[in-house]
Amino acid sequence: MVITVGLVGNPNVGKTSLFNKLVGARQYVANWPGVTVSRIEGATSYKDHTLHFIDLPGVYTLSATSIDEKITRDFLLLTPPNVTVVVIDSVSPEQGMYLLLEVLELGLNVIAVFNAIDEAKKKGVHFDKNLLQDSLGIPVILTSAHSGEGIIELKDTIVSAFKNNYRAKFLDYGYEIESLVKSLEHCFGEEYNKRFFALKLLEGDELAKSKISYCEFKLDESTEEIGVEIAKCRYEYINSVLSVCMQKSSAPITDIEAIDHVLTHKYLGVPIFLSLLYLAFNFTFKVSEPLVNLLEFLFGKLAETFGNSTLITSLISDGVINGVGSVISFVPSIFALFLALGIMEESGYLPRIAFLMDRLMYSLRLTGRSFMTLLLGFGCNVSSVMAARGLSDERERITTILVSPFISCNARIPVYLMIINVAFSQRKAETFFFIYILSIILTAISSRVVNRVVLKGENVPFIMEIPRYRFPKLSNILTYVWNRGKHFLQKAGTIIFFVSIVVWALTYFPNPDNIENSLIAIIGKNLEFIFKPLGFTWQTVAALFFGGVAKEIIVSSFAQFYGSIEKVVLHPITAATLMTFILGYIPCFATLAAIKSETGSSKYVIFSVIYSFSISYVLALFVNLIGRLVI
Amino acid sequence: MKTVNITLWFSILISLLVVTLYFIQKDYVFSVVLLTFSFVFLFGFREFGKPSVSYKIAHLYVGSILFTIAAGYTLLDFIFSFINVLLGEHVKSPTYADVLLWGLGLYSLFNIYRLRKFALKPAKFGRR
Repeated sequence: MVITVGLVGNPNVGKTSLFNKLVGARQYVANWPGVTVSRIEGATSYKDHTLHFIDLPGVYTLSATSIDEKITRDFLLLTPPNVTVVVIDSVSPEQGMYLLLEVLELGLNVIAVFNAIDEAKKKGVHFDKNLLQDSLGIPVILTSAHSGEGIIELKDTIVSAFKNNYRAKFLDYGYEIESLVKSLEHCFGEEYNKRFFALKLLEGDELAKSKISYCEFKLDESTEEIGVEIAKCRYEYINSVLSVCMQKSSAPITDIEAIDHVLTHKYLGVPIFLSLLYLAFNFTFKVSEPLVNLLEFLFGKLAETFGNSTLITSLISDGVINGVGSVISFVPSIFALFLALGIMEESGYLPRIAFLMDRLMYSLRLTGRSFMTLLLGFGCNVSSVMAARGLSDERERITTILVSPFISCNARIPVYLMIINVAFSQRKAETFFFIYILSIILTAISSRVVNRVVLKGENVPFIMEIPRYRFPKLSNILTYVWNRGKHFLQKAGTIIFFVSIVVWALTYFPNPDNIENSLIAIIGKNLEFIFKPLGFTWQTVAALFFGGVAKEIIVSSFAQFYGSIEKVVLHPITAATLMTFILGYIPCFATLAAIKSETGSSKYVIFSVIYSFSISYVLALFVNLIGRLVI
Repeated sequence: MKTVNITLWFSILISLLVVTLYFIQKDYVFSVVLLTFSFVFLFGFREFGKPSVSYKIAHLYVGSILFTIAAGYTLLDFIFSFINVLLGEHVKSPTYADVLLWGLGLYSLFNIYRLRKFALKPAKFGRR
């Protein structure tokens, strides 16, 4: 027997962590709201039943405005699961319980799960489970996705809830509101949950308004007051339940408050963030450098073993080992970088930066939520383009999508690492830090340009629940590192592999002994005039040409043109110009496809290509000219 | 209150000494990073008003965490340099600045433990 179970809850209450624990999956989890923007499904067998879990995007209320919120609401309304698990944060359960009351109005078979109970206990928060069950009239489970506490009990309760079909009593909103709800119920067709829609109509919900078939009731300003009264009733009920069922400590200042006081400080917050980011990048280089050197050495030896005297051995050693190996050599650096970023994210520090950046983002007509979405782009630009669906304001969503390609994704990391190793070996961390800061500045400027030129509209206020600080859990960090790093390895085995062979073929023919007469040289030399002002040679131009498919191919191409990465020669000014150009140049094919699917318009794709290329070219030219003046 | 002030002053003095040493050995960016962390201690003295002691403790606590991270980072850097031997390179030899930073890191670690135990730990439980 299959039991469908929907996991619903506020953002960042640990639904995905719970989902991973329940089905043994490794979905990406993070310590900030808005990570899950589409439904994720997984199944597990338990006591002769198949439990089919559906992890839904986090919502605060069922009055949905953004795309991800609509996914959750529509799922519960149109295809209600056999059992709905409402996940509530044990440390601050008020908002989660508010959502629980809304879900109960749908008349679903509900289980309330108070998650992160281990953290709550540490903070001196204790629950009386039996009293909670009596007050709410539904099963209550106390769980910890972190330690696994209560997971078996939850599975048992899901099975018993499926058999017994628990339905809680509806909350009584008082005579006046209840009479209004009764009178409004007939406005909706039989196919709808009448009580739920009547309440939503009083709350001013757009979906409820659109579903009215016939109604004598007029919606005016007094309806808004009733909506406020409904919310007040719910919070009064929640507070009355918690005053009986929950005990909380009273400390003058907690460690979390102490950390927040300083890390979100008006003057100290940003400098501390930049300092920690610098340490993270330095850590990346210093820790990974010996491993990178070791891999380069091993790939070099392997290529030497095969030699390149015949067509086949040249294909293997120059095309595959040298081409793909040169990119794979940087895997330790990429994993080390994501390890450092993973610790910052998992601890709950990065969302604070969104809070700190909100003032700056507001001046760019974006919000801190956009900043969080853009942060995903450090992994892959496709992720941030997709995650933008969590933004409720359409103008902000489109802007975020269009500026996402300027965030330095992991595909660009090996390119920067190669250039830095070649031209800035004495100042590696500083150069890497600078290029990342430049990437953020370029994103910010582009937001302003896009908002000024392309889109016009008003700002929406930024409301975001700041997550708690947590001691980073090793398994979560490793999942984070693997999820981001595996993308790179997958590309190395597919697209980089194939394009490396294409580049090799174009380098090998018609004359393997003279690359200057090769087909690739013809392509590079024919396009060289465009990049002459930037000081790029035909090799760089050809590498950039193929790098349009995926940025890592630039490294692979350089390795093939020069014989190996160690033999690449770049003047510091040309290197700085090249790095600046690579910051934007053009989004990769996968990002362009994501922009097309998320905006539903080719004009944004064309804009993205033309704008990225132009701004990168101008900026690179500027760097080149300044460099020549200074040095 | 007196202990907090003394600890803050002591931490500031040692941290500024570390900053100066790194600056002298031309590690400019890292000395700026450490100077930023020193400012966390220094800003503790800008806290006035009723909860000023609590917030001074906050600055001491977070400043100590940051210096522990910085010390841990240089220690890891030193430990990882042993791998370089495999590649025929030299092991990094610690400078005076490194040693002093490790000392400050240890002292900061002790402060974190002390503050968590006596100043920041939830004192008692009460009904909401």
